[in-house]
Amino acid sequence: MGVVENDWWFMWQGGGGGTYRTPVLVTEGSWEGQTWQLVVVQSEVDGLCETLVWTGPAAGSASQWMSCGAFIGFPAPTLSGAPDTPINDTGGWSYGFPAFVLGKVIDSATQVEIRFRNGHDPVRLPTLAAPAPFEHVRFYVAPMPWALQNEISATAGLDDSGNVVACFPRAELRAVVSPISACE
Amino acid sequence: MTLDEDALNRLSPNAPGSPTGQMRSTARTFTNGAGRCACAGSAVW
Repeated sequence: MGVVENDWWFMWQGGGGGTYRTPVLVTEGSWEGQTWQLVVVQSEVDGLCETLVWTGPAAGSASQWMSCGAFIGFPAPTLSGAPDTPINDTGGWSYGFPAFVLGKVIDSATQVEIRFRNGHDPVRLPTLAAPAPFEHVRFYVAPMPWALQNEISATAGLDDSGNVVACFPRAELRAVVSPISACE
Repeated sequence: MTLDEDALNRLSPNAPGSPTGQMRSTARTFTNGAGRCACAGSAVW
């Protein structure tokens, strides 16, 4: 894993060329016969961005997208006032391809726990280290049905002992409790 | 190019009809073939 070429779709659309630093390949794999790569890139204006790129023969029919935001160590100048977050959760689907979740968390979190409001058992995923300059960020990615993603109530980053070190709680709690306590 | 969320949601590479993709994020900015949208939440196309 490591540096990849500078010819990704997001460099030509949306933010425009020249606003991204060198993309880095975090990991790659295959679900349901569809191969993919998880790519992370720092935007000069939008903070830290990640995208899952389908790479197989049918990849051209997939709708590509990525999310960006202020993350600890990677501010987003265009989002003035947005706090640098310790955890981020994203997910989606494209017709003909498996739905998935992905995200990033501070490097003390060796796993994430995704919780659901419908009573579904929490899902724990290992987090993955990334090459420099993202060595203080860890990433996770896994297939997950879209219907289940709509039931996510919180995403917590856990350390080796299972302690909550980062938390993104459900919306109604964000304004009244501290992020960590909302996941404990 | 910066688009609003409605513009992002109108992206329909293969439609009309059913959505061909959806995404959600706790991050603040989405980018796809329609452009860049500074909007938290979700999008469908």
